[in-house]
Amino acid sequence: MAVARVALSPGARARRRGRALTGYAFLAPALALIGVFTLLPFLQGVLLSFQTWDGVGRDTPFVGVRNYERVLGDSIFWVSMRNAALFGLVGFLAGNALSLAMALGVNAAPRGATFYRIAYYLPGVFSVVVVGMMFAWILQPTVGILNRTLVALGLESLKHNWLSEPATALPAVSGVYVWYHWGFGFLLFLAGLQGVPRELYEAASIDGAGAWQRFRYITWPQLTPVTTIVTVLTLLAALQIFGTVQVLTNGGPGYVTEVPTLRIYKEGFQFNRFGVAAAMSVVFGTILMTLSLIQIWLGRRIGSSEVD
Amino acid sequence: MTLRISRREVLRDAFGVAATVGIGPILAACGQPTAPAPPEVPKGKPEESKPAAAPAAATSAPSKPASAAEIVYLNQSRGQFKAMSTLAETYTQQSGVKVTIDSPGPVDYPKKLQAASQAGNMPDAYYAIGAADMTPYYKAGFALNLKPEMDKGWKKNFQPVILDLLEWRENNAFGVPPGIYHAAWEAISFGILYNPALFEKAKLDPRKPPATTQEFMDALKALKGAGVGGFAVADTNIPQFLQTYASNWLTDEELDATFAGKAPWKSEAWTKSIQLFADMREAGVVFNNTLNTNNPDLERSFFNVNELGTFYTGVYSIPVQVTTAPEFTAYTAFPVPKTSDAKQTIRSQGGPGKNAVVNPKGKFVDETLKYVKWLTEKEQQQVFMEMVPLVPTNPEALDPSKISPQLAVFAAELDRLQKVPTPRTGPVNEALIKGVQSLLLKETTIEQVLEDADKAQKG
Repeated sequence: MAVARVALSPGARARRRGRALTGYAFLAPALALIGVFTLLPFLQGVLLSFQTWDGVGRDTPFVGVRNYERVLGDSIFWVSMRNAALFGLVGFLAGNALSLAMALGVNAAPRGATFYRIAYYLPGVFSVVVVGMMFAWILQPTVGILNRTLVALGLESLKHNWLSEPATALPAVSGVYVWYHWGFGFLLFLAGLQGVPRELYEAASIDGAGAWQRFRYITWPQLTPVTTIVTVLTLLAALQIFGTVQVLTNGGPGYVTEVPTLRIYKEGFQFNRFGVAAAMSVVFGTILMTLSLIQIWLGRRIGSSEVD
Repeated sequence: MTLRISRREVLRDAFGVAATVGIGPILAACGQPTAPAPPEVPKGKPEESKPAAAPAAATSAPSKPASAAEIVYLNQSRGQFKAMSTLAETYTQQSGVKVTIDSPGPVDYPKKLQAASQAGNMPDAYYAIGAADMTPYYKAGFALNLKPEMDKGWKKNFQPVILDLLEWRENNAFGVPPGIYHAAWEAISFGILYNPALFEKAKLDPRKPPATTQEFMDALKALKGAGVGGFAVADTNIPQFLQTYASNWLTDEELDATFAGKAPWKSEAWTKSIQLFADMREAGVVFNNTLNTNNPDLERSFFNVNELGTFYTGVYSIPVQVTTAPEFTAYTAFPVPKTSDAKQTIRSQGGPGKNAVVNPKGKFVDETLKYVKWLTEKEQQQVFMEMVPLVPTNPEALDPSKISPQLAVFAAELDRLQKVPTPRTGPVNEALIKGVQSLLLKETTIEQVLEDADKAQKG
C-alpha cells in the first residue's frame, strides 16, 4: 500500500527537528557515560591485547598476535574455561530450576509470600566477601558447622574437606554460588508468574487439565520471555564467577576451581602481563557474546514455536 | 494550576547546569596551582609529646624543625600500622615535617599503588611488596636508588646479608638498573613453629625438635597417631619452603641460577625437594591432607584452635599470635631440618621485610629520604621491635634480651640466610604452589610440576 507523504510546513519541520534535538540532548549524558566508561575501555582493552604492558611503565610496544598465540596455547586458561562451563551449567540448570521452583511455590501459596520473598532474596544482598567468609567457616574441615553437624548426626563417613578435595571443591563452590544468586532468578520468575492471566488456568481446569499440564501448556509458554532473560543473565553471571571462587578457594586445590576471570586477574595484577590478560578477556568475551546470541536466538525460536 | 515548561527552557537550564558543572573545574584547573598550606608546626618540647609506647624513639631525629614539607607513606602492613603512626607522630613533632601514613590494607594495597602510578599521584614513600612484583616500579623510575646514600654511611643500619639481598646487580634477570631501591627495618626468616603440648600428647620430647628430615617425618607420624594435625604450610609459602629445603643440595649460586632461568628446575635437587611433599602425602601427615590454605587460616589453627602440630611460616606470624592469642606463648620454632644426603648446610630463605621505597618524583624527596633514614636508626627500629614485634635489620637494635624466645629462633636464622639476589617470578611461584597442591591430590607428578615451573620460568 502506498503511503502518501504529507508535505510539512517549515514551522512543522522546525518543530520536528527541535523534538529530535531534545531527544538527543536527553540521550547525550547516557551516551557520553557509556562511551567513556564502557566503549572506550573496551576498545582500549582490544588494543592492549596486541601490546605488552607491565601495568606501571609508559612503554607499551605492539607484539602483534603473540598474546593470542600464548592464550590459545595456555592449558591452564582452557582448564579454567572448562571449569567455567561447569559453573555455567550448574548455575544455568540447578540455579534456574531452584529459582523457578521457589517462585512457583511462593506464587501458589501467597500466605507468607512477603517473608519468603525476603528470605529467598536475602543472600544476594550480602557482599561476596561476607558470603565467602561465612561459607569458608561452614565448610571448614575440622571446626566447620557442616562437618560437626554430620558427626553429631552419626554421619562421620560423609565428612569431607569440602573446599580442598578435588571431588568436592567445585560442587561446594557451585553450591555457594547458587545459594548466593538464586534470589535474582526467583524475583524475575515470580514477577513473570504474577503476570500470567488467571483465566487461562481456570479454563484449563474446566477442561480437566492437571497440574503438570497447566505448567507445561500455560505457565511455561507464558514464562518464555522471562526465562530467556533470566537464563541469559544467570548463564553469563555463572560463567563470569569470580568473587566466590577467589574468596573460597582462589582457584585451588591445583587448578580444580580455576576460572577465566580469576586467570585474567592473576595474569594482570599478579604477573603484570596486562597484554596477555587483555587477550584472554577478548577471547573470553567473544565466547560469552556468542553464547548469549545463541541463547537469545534459541529463546525466540522456542517462544515462537510455543505460541504456534 | 498547570506548570508549563517548554522544551527550550528545559534545554537552556540543562546546558546551564552542565556548563556550570563542567566549566567550573576547567577554569579552576587553568588557574595558578594552589600551593598546599604549610602544616602547623607543633609546639612544645618533643619529649613532652612523645607517646608512651615509643620511649626510645626519635633520639636521632633531624635537627632543623618547622619544615613546610608534608610527606605521605603508603603502608601495606596492618601489623606495623600502629608503630608507623606512632613514629610518624613523633617525627612530625620533632622535625616539623608532617608525615601521613595512608593504609589501604594489604589486599587493596597493590591495586592502589598501581592506580597511583597511572594517575600520576604516587606517594612520597611506599612499601615494596615482593622483589619481583616491584620491578615495574623500579624500571619506571618510581624508586630512588639508595645505594649512593648507603655507601655514604647509611649501610651501618643494616646487617650485611640484608644489604646483599636488597641490591640489584648489573645484568640481573629482570632488567632492573643496578642499585638499592628500598630500605628495610625488618629482617624476615622462615622456620617451623611447633606446639610442645601437642608434641607431649604424641609422646615426643618437646625440648628436642626434629633436626633431620627422618626425625621430622617420624615426629609427624607420631602426631598423626595421636590424632593431631601434622604439618602445614600456607599455599603462598610453598615456594619458600622448597627453596629452603633445596639448599640441602644447592649452593646460593645454583639457586640463583635457577631463578634467573640459567639452570633448569627439572633437576635432581628440586626433584628431591618436592619428593618431601610426596612422602608426606604417602604418610598422611599433611594437615587436612591439603596445602590449599592461606596463612591467616593456619595461624588460627595453630595459635587459636591449637589443632596443628607443626607449621612452616615466616617470622611475621609472631605478631599475629601477640595480637590474636596473647595468652598462647607456649610454642617455639625450629629450622627446616637437614637431610641425610645433604651436600650443603641448609639455609633459610628470607631477607628484607617491612620497608620503604622513596619516590624520586615526589615533591619532597630530600625530606622523605631523611625520614626513611630516620626509620632505620636504632631507636626507631627498637620501637618496631617492641610494638610490632619484628626482627630489626639494624644490628645495634637487635637486643637478644628484649626479644621473645620464638623471635630469637628466627633471629638466629639470619646468620645462615641464603644470599640469592634473584627473586622467583610470580608465574614460577604459581606453578610450584599449584603443582604441589596437585601432587598431594595425586593429580600430577613431580616431573610435571618441574616441567611447569620451567615453562613458567621461560614466561
